[in-house]
Amino acid sequence: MSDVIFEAEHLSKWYGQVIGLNDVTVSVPPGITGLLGPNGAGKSTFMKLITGQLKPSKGSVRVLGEPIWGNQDLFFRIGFCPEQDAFYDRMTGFEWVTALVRLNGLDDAAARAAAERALTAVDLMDAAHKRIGAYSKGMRQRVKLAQSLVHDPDLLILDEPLSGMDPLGRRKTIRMIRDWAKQGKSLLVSSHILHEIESMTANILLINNGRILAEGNVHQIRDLIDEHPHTVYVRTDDPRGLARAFLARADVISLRLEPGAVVVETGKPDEFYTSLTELVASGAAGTVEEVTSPDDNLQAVFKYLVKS
Amino acid sequence: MSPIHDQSYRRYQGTRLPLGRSWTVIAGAGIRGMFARKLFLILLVLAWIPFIVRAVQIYAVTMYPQAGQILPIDASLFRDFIEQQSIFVFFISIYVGSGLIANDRRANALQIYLSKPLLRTEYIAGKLAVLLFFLASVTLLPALMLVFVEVGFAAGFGLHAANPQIVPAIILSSAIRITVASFAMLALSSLSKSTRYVAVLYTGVIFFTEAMYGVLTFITGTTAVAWVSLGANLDQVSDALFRQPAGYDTPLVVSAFVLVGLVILSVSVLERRVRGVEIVS
Amino acid sequence: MSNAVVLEHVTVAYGNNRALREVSAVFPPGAVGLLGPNGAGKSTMLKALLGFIPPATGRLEVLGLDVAARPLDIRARIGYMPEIDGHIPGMNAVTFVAYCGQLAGLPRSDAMQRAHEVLYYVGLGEARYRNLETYSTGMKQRIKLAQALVHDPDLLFLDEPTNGMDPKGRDEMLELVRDLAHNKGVNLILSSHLLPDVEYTCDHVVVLDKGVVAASGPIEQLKGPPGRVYEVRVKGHLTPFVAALHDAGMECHQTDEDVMRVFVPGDPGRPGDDQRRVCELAAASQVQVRHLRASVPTLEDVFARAIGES
Repeated sequence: MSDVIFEAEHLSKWYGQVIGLNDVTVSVPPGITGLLGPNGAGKSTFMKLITGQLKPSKGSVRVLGEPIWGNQDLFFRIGFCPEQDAFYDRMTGFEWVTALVRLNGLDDAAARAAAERALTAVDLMDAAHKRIGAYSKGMRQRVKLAQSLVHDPDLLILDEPLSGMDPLGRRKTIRMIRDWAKQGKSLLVSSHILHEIESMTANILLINNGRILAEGNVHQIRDLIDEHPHTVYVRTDDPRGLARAFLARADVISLRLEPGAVVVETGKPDEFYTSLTELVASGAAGTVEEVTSPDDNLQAVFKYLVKS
Repeated sequence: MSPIHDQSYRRYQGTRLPLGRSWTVIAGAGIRGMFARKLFLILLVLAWIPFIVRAVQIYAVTMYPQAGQILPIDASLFRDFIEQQSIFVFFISIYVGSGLIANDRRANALQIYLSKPLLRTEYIAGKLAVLLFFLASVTLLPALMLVFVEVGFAAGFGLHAANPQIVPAIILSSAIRITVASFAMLALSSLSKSTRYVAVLYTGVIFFTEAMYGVLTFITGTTAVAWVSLGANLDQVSDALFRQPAGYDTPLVVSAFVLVGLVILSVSVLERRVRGVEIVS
Repeated sequence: MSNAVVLEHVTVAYGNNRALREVSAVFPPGAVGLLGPNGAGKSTMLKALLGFIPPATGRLEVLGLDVAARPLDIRARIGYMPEIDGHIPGMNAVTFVAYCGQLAGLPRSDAMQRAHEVLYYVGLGEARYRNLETYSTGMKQRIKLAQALVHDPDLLFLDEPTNGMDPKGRDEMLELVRDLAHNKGVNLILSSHLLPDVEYTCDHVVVLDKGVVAASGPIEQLKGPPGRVYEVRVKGHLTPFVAALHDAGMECHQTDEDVMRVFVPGDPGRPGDDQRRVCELAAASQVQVRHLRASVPTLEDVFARAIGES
């Protein structure tokens, strides 16, 4: 597999005076990538450009190695699950998915088999022959997912795929998404629920104001945000003792005492963590029960980078 | 007291009015909303032109009594005036009424209203009050003003001493007209989310019934079928109240039944369409 | 302090379908999460508490008042933030929120004052003179909260309050909810599918499934004590570290999230012993321990257990 699943080069899109995407250049590797950004940042414009629904105003976007605009054959290899609901409520789930995959050129029998596979994958087979109008929100969402993968695409673009689902449905779908990635598909998942993106992937693409703000592994990005030193929370039975040990170190910028814990800020995470590991191992500074970093996560990266 | 005041959310320590007044709030907001529309104000002004015409007529007859033979001043003057205002009743019902509930349904406002401490009846009463207010302002109000004009020019209550039914008839026939129109319009407005659709529906129903009346009268050769037409029913009742000869062969009781039936039908439609159960998803 | 909401043997049926079946539940004061799969009966319960559907059997009590006897008095004291967007046509934010205040019984000028205050509190101060139809998703959510708060309710029902909001909006909304519950003394019932949101803001939960209460109680109590599984994330070469763990008899599962789960067998020693052993092995394998914590069951685990799934 090549190491780029889709790429954009100087990609811009404007709607009259309003600019949707502003000179975006990025290459996205295979696997699961989380697409994040505030409302109005350009995420849906970006997704529509990648799926060939919009024509770039300037620049190019290539998917699976080929330009996507007007490229009918390529559409077949991409699946899109949009955020909006747009169904024919009178059709059953099965009819709808079958009808959509027939648009891709499959014959009747193959279409029905594909629809069955897709609906089984999203766990909707037992309700497949009921009308969509009778479905709950979670079921409607799963039907949308089914139609996006019924033609077995190589690339799936999912816009808020978990919306409306209850907690178990969310967990199942996240697991499904990870399974699809293991099967070799690539996915671009857009969501506002950061902890859910985190449970799918560590690879993100952050858009703001029509431009890319950050791309790549969350932790690497975090390490690069220099002006926000790493915060480390250490729970121990002897906070002051541990604090004394930390104060002696040059890599500790500031330190705060909380009940039963010490919270440290460090500008040199590698050095700090190495010596912390050794300190805990030696037992020299009391017993340590927990080491966590409250801001080495997607939430913090988002907050620090999206300042507006 | 601490020198630093809490700027954020505070508990409310002020008065809370007793329940049951929400309909006035709804009515007030609706009425104020209509007054903000210029086109509507023009319509209201136009609706008073017939009043001016009649006032001039009364003046003319008072000045030149011989004109009184062509244009008599009696109970029929007031009855005719009210009947003729029904065209404005039609237009104002549509302008004010089509969107009264339809707009709320489209904006999903019912879930907000019904989660407040008010009965469905209060919601309906508030909306009804908006329509009744404006309809009264083009029927009851100018008719009563006309009475004042007549009394003023005649410098006496002579006409009314001879025809004591005039003022009560004005009040009652206006009330019946605007009540029936308001309930019907409100019920239609609750059926749809589109103001335009309701307006078309209302117009359609009125024209259809009028057309049916025309056809049936032509076929049967009698006006006993006048109960089909809403306008005819209202006129029948008016005539009776003003003690004028009936304009149609339909018995008064039948007309009254139809009007009451229409109001009851409207109320049952409203009861079914304005509900809280649909509002929680 | 008495309970905010009490249900006693409540059955609500639509025709033959019993959406709530002999439900008895208590919502204590403070912040309570209402959870359940789609179709479990949450919205039916809400409708019954707002007084829209009379129960076939049983009794509902909100803030000490019987719902069957005094639904209007109850609605004067509760605020409802609906899931679906809704507004009064033709109004701007201030007019709308003041109108809602008046409908709830506030005199006109007080309603106006409260409207301004509440709009500032929810973060709409700058946009309050704009027409509601021009509002973005995040603003619409805030307005829904404002209209529920204007009359200073004693109990708030919040239905998916962060729906459609971007991460910053979600954070701000959750902070508002937490502030209301913990600092301002407003009881609230939060219905949401986003369990981390519920964990952040609520202390209790009630879990419904198929029309009955599947679990209820304080979140900490429902979660239970931590086990001897540890979440571990390290930076460095994984293979020697994982090998070292295996040699020491610790089972190690690599989840695809970059956090490993490590099982420490044997008798529990003193607190901190397990962590120390893990760090010893890490130091020896020359990796940095970046995250080390006893794995606590999450609210999601509580939910799954309650619904009967593994």
